[in-house]
Amino acid sequence: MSDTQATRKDTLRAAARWYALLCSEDVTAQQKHAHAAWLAEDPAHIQAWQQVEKLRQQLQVIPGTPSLNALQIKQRQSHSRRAVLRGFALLAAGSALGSLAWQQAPVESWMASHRTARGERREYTLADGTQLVLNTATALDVVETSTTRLIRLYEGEIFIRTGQGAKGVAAAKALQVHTEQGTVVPLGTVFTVRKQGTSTQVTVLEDEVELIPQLAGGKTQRLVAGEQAQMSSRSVEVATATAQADSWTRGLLVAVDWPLSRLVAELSRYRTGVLRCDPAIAGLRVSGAFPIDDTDRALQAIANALPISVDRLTQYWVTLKSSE
Amino acid sequence: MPVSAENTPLAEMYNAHHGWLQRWLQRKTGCSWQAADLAQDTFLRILTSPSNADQISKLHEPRNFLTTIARRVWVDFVRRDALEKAWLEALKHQPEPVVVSPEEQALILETLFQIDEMLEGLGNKVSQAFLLCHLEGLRYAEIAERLGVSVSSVKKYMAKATEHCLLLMFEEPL
Repeated sequence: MSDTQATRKDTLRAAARWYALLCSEDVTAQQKHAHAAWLAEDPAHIQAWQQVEKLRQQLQVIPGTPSLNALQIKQRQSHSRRAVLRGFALLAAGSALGSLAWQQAPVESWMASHRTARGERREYTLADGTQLVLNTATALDVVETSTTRLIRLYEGEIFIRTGQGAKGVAAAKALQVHTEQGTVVPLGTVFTVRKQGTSTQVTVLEDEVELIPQLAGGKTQRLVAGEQAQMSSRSVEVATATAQADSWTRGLLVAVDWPLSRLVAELSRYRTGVLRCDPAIAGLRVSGAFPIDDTDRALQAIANALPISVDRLTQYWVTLKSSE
Repeated sequence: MPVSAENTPLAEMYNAHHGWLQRWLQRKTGCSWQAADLAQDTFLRILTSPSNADQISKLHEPRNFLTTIARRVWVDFVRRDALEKAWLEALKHQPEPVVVSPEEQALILETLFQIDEMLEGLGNKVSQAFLLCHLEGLRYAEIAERLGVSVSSVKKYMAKATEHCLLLMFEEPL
């Protein structure tokens, strides 16, 4: 270490001692005066003091009590954390840690950079012109690396229209959507991705996408326009796409000869509280376009079309029953 | 940061070893997704650290170097995760609900991460004194009472913790 570095460290040590003195409730006017004189002595002292200020400011931007509690909780747990770290060297492939990553999903989705509340819909345009629409109760992160633009979908549903690549460097990045089950690689496309419990539903509206389940040993599945797939972490099941699978981007839920139970389940995604239907009427067939931004109106429309009534215990506990 | 990764030692290293590192991490973590993230973060950390970036062209065993950095990235990942959980736990116990936007949340967690990292290695009482003063705004007398020490000890703890943080900031600028 050079002399100047040693001197700078000494100055920082002196600044720390001054700081500890000035933070005290017993600091005297004389001591404050002496501190000012110390600062005036040498520009290096001022420089060191600026570092103290920087440190202090950093501690001021966070809410005090919860931050203190969080740090204390974390420190109490650091013992078990160290145990985890020691284990790192010993972990073998296929260990429990693989699933651990996703057990953290609630935390991750809470922390996600883009999210919508229940009943909310939101649209973003990414740097390369890619259009991204988040359906109700959706959480995702957009992670940019030098080569890839990665969308990590934690929960909910998204619509993507990939950018045209007109903006030079940004457009050269490959877009990928990751979910718990695997990766979706669009090949210049319009498509939707929806998280459904332990599977991911992908619907292709234009062109093609490639699906790569997490644990399928690198096997991929090509999906073309008009197809819809359920991807688990090990396999992909392809079927014909639901009609108007992207109608939610226009505020509509389109049902074509659906059992009532399915329509109710879909509508409940857009509402807070419980919405269910009596098993006796669950199999009634229903078709129509229902507004998802006003699910009460949608329920009224169903009640007008079918022999059912809407039983509201409260706004948050609604049951559809037979009216016959 | 301007990044032109073409034909740099780092780009060569990336091409030669990224796949290997990801497989190594996958064996260690058992999760291909996490391995992909950690591998990416490892190269990102080398890229953003001038002292690391300088070393690359002189390396004899690039894979040893990579696994060393990857381990640090993993340690940080585990630490961040523990802090996030602790923060959520702390919020649950607030008498009044604390409302923070996702952006604020990210900033708070990043700051907590830095503070936690800086205070690591200090004695418990030293770091507690520092935190009680800054985050709870307690007077030295109150801190002394809480920790069961004298007021002059609190002043020493404060100096020690501050010095520790300043020296770390000096060595690794924030």
